[in-house]
Amino acid sequence: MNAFWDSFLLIKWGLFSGILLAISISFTSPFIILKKNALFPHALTHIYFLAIISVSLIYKFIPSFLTFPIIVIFTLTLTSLIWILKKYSKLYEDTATSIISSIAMGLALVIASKTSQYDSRLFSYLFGSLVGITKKDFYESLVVFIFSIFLFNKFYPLWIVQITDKEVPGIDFKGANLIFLILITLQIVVGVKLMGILLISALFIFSSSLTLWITKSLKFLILATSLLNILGILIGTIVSIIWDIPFSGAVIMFMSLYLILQIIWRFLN
Amino acid sequence: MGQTIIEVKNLYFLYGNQIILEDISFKIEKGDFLALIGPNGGGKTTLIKCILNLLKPNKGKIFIWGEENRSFKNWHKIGYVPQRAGDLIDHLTPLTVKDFIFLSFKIYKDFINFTNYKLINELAEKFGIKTLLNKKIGELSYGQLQRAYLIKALILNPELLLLDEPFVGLDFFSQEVFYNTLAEFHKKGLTIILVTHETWLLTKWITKVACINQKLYFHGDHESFCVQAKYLEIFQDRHRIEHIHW
Repeated sequence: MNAFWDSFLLIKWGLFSGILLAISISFTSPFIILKKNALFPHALTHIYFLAIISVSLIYKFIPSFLTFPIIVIFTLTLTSLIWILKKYSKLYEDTATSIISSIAMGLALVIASKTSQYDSRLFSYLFGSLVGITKKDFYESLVVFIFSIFLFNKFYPLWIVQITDKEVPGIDFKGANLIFLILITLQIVVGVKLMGILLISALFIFSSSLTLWITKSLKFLILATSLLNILGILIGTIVSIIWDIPFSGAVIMFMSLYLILQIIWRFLN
Repeated sequence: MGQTIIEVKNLYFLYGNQIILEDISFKIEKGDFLALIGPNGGGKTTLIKCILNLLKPNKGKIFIWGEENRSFKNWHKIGYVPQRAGDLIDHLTPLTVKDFIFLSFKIYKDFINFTNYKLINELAEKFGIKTLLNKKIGELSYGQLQRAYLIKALILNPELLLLDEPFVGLDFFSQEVFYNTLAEFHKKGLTIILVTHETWLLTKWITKVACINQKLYFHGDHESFCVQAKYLEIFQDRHRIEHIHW
């Protein structure tokens, strides 16, 4: 029991940060699935990875407080390439998303290998770490959590109405969509440290894929998605401590059970 | 003459080099129940979207209640049901029918500071979906969905209603019910613009006709349209409508 308590003290900021992240993501993830754009968070993580690797090249030349905003702006700018590519090459959005994310990941790995960043730090970026989360990271998660609630309350009608109406007279969706993109980017930025670049997108997909089937109202959908995400984080934490396996892997393994539940639900209904 | 609600002046719209609308000018007055008719690809939907400022014309101006539509703000006074609206809804859409209809209040919350709970029940009863209000929107049939969209367009008590082929795919009796209900709203003062191919309906409910196929070939009351056009024949022959001069 003492060993478990010691482990808890070691991972407490990671756990608290994970719970806040689980709730924050539930405010955006259903909309990603409803827009049939589940690949998007995955692409965003790849672009974010390129941003981290690129900014690390100039890290010594910029004040540390500017690192975070530069990475976010870099990510958002590169993400806009998806829509530019879609617009000018007339590709489908998921095709453009896939192309840009592949280029970003490929370029990031090339830069990493040529600038001696191909080490354990790269490994932690790719797969995350529960232990590596600090009090500062927790506060960042708290800020994103507050942003998520505030922005959801302000903009959710404009996010949801795009699912039911392509166009609404007098309503310009650009601002609301930009806010949505910034919010997902912030959630990914704080989530990558915990879940890793390769696995953070799972938090956006698994729970919502189940709850969209079993709920009929938006409020209950957000609540149910939050609870399932939190459950995933808690069970993942316990399993990773007891069996000494990577945290993000344990979370994904547990959350993949949601897929089975979804199939059973569909079968029963 | 009634109050002018919409005035379209010398409107041109092009997709690339292809002319979709050419020098369109007309007025919609308060109390009109106008059928906007014409062959497929004739520019009806483009015209509706230009009026609603969803598409920007290449040339010309549109005024709504005397104000240019680019600077018009009171969009909550206009109800709109787009073409094949129900196609967007799938079984995962996380809204009850009631929540879906109330989206109108949330979208235009800067203009509407109340939620009309009484009207939703009245409209739902009128359109026969009152028992479905708490059902998930994605579980509705296509016909029921179209009714939900129409209620959503009417829930803010609009003064103008634009319907772009709202009842495509519905059986005869459902259409009859819809049009009778629309006629009730029209009698109470609602101005309606209806894009339709259902030419058999024209004589029964509508008061005016605008016939469009790139150019505006006719705009006037439906009696003179019936006399001049033999409209059923025209719709069987798209080529002919392109060469008729009224």
